[in-house]
Amino acid sequence: MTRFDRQINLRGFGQEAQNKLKQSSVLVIGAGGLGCPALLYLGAAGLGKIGIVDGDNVSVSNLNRQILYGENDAGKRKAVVATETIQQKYSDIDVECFNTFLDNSNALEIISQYDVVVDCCDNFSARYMINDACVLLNKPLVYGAIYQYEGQVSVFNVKDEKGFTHNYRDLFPVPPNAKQIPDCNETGVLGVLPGVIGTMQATEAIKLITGIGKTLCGKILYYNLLQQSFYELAIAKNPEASQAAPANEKDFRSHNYSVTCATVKTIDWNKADEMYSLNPQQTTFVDVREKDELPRVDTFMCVDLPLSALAHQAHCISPFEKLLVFCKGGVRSEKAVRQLQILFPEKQFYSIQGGILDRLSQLNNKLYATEV
Amino acid sequence: MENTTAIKTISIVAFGVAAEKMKTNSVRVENIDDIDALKICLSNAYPELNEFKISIAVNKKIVHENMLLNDGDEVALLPPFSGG
Repeated sequence: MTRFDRQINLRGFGQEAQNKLKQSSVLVIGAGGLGCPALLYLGAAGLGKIGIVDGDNVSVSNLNRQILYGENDAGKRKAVVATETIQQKYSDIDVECFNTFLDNSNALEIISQYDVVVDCCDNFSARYMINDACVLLNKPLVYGAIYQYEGQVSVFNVKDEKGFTHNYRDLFPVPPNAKQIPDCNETGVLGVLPGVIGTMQATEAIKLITGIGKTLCGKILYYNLLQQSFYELAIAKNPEASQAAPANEKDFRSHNYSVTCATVKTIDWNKADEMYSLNPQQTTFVDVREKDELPRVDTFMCVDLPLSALAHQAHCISPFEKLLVFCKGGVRSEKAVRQLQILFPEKQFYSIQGGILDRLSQLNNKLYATEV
Repeated sequence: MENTTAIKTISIVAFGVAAEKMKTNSVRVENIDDIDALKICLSNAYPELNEFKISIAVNKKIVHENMLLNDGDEVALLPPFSGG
C-alpha cells in the first residue's frame, strides 16, 4: 500500500500521472491564506519537489485562514514553519525553503528552477512581478486572488485550444493604485475563501503536471462564496499587455514594481502636433477649460469637454483613440487626464504642458520670427 | 403600426469592489448603445466607480475596445483582486 493508492486507482490518473507528479516541482509563492491549502494538497498529492517562498512571520490574526500554523507559531517565520510541517508529514518530498520575499533581483533565479509556479501572494506589486518573470521564463503560472467574499483563479502562460497564451497583464495591463484596492489584511476575509481558491490553485497545478482534464488557461474563473456561484470568462489578448511589461530579463531587473498612482503622461505642443499629424483620424485635442474661458480655439481640431462636466460629457471623445488634453496652464488638464484614464483605460491620454498660454506664446514667437 | 423604438436591455454583473460600491451585484440598464456610453452611464450613477480600474466582459468574453451592445447582452464589471 502507498499513500497514493486512492489516486493511482482513479480512472484517467493511474501510475503514469503519479510518476509525473513525483518527477515535477512546484514553487508556491506566498505561504498565507492561499498558500497554506495549496501546499497541503500539493504535498499530499506526491510532488517530487516543492518550493515555499515567504518573508513574513506568522501573526495571530493569520490563524483564521492560514491553516499550516497554530497558536504556538505566532512570531515564527512562515516559510520555515511551512517547510518543517510539509517535510515532517511527507519525508519523500524535496522541500526547499525560501525565507524571503520575492523581488525582481531574486525572482528569475528561483522561478527558473521549478516546473510550475503558484501565485499565492497578497499584493499587486508581487503579482505583476511574478507574472512578468513567468512570461519571460515561459513558465506555467497558476494565479489565484481573493477579495472579501469573492475569489478568482486562472492559468497563465499555457497555450489554450487555439494556441494562444495569456497572462495577468491581458486582464489588467498596469497595476492600480494600492490605495484603490486594500488587501485582505485590511478588508477582512472568511478563512474558508482562500481555502477554496488555494485548493483550486493546487488542482490546476496537478492538472497541468499530469495532463488530466482541462485547465483554466485562456479563462478566468470567479467564485462568490455568499452566492456559492461561479462565473467563467474568456480572456482576450490585450495589445497594451506587452507594452506595459518588461521586454527582457535586464528590463525586468530594473523595472519598478512598487505600486504607484497612475501617472499622467505630459507632452509639449510640438510633440502634440506631431502626434496629431501621425494619425489625424483617431487623434484629437481636448479643451477642458470652461466654455466661457478665452481665447477659444479655432486654428486646430479640438473637442470641448469642460472639466466641470467631464463625467456627463465624456462620451464626446468616444470616436478617438489618442487624446491630447489641454487647459489654460496645464494643471486642470492633468486632473482631467487622471479621471479620463479611469473612464477609458484603453485610450491614450496626454496632458499638454503649459496649456493654451504656452501655445499662444509659441505662436507669438513664430510671428515675431517671420517678421524679423 | 409596429413600434419601431424597441427597448434594448443590458444586464450588468458586478464583481469585487465594483459590486461593493454599487451596493448590488446586478443591475439592468436600457437603451445604451455601446460600452463607452455604458461606462459614462455607470460613472454618473455610481461616481465611486471612477476611483479604480475595471475591466469589462461582454457575454463572458473580456473586451478591450469599445463595442456595440445588443438587447440581452450581459456586461461584467471586473475590478482586479489582490488579496491572498
